[in-house]
Amino acid sequence: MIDPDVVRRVAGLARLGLSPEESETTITQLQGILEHFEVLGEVETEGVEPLAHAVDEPGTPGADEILVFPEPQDTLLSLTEHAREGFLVVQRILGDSDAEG
Amino acid sequence: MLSASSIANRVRAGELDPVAVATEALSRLDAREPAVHAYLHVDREDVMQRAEALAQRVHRGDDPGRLAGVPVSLKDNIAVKGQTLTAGSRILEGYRAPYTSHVAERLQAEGALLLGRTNLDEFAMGASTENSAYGASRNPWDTSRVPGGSSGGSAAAVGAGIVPVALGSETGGSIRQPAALCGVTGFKPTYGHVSRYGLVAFGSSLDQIGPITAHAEDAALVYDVIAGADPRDSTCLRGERPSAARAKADVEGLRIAVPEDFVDDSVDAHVLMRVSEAMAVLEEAGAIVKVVERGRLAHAPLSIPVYYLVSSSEAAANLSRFDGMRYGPRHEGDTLLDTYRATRGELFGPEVRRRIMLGTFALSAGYHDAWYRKALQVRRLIQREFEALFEEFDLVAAPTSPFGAFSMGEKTDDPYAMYLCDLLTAPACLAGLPSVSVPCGLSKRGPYKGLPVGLQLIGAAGEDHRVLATARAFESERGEPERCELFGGSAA
Repeated sequence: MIDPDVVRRVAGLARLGLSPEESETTITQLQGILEHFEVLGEVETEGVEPLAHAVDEPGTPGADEILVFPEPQDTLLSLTEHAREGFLVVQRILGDSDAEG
Repeated sequence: MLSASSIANRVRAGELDPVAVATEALSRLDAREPAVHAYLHVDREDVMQRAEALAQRVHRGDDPGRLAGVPVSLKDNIAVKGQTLTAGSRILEGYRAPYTSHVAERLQAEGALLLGRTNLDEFAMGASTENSAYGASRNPWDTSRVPGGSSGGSAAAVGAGIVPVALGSETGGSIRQPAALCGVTGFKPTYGHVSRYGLVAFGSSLDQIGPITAHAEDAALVYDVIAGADPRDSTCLRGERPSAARAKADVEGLRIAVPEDFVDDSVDAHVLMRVSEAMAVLEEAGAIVKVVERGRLAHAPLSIPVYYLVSSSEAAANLSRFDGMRYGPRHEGDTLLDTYRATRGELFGPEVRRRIMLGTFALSAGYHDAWYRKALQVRRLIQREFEALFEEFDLVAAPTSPFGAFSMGEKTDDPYAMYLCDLLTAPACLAGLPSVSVPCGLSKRGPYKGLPVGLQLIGAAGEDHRVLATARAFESERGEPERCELFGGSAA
């Protein structure tokens, strides 16, 4: 079920850099974990509605109004080492052939 | 160590100086922290300043609040403005929260003194704190053993008698399991009863914040303070919650189910003995205890695969925000994508990477229906079975953890063995139910000899007050729990 191609594809989707050794370990560990989980396949679930959230009751809606985050921009930018002149510095994305859409 | 309610009552009456309470708590921390490594950060000046401000409030004649002067430690995934918020991860090293969580606001408004940030498994993923990037915490009963997890720092801080109250968070057992292993009370509220605003997200359909306390009555007091509607968390339920502290602590006529489905070969015999004795205590006090035959909660034993598929899928989505752009350190690569991969690959620990892989796999095209959707369908069956059981019973009782505190390193090489720690706690999380773990004695023989055992009580959704009142009644019937040497008590 889990082979090098699956691990490569999933790691790509998850944007996780795995070393060759770690890719190997991941194959063994994920395979082992999923074998334990295969028991779910034996459960009869025909017509059972999936339960994504345990509570059906409505939550607490926020008021329909614009809220201003109380902290100034500088405070938020101070949380990263990569701020310059009021902007967050990131790598260029245009012309990057490796970037995924 | 005084209970939270005693501290608050005396501070409110002007009989106890909050500055003295804070000073004593800090001195206990200095003496005991080297043995347990419960804390990641302590801001002493802030604690003392707040204690002084509180003393002035009392002096002025203002009501200092229901938790006046009570030292409370917070798991380091709950935001307090200006304080660390590492979530036990290198990817948030140096990060300071820019705002305060709902629960911390509520605690501060009621006069609690927030004392320190406690250790946890990275992003709350683990059952031992051994996945913390900042070193594992240790069990105050035996420092060669784990305190449980993921809220292991909070449970060790309370179990070592440093603070009477700490907050933890739970997704699959992370409040109740460490509470059980450290001999203290831990409570996970009904999903939606406590706002998650300011909690670092792990599994959003499961995560809840709750108290870990040295005395069962304090869990009710703290729950009353932190529970309530909050529009900043859209999953937080509307309306009032009945008070748990004021609920009648009377078990007369209470119908308690003890399901055989919660017991398999993995549950330690001496753990079961303590739980059976606990049921006798409740029966003696008037409860109607009935063993429920195997099959009524037939799908509960499948909670491990269901829980790990659901929570890892949600985690894979929630943790996508940690890419080195907006928070913490960044590991540069040649391209933007390389930077994402390097930052996430190098700064997330092995367990977090494993769960992101598992969750991404379960959600990916071709596998989604067989794994993620299937898990959600079985989750529905688990919830339905609980609902049917609660038509006949008021509470469900079981051990909290299949075993006592295990040795450091015992399960670190086998991820699945570590996952099995959640076997008995994950069902209540999947069904969104309130559940408490309350100490019920020490294991007398076997591999966990002399170590604490927790009794788990689960209630129907919204019955938090009943669950907590029963925990309180149980502790008053049985007497104060055994304490470890570090706590300052004597182990029986």
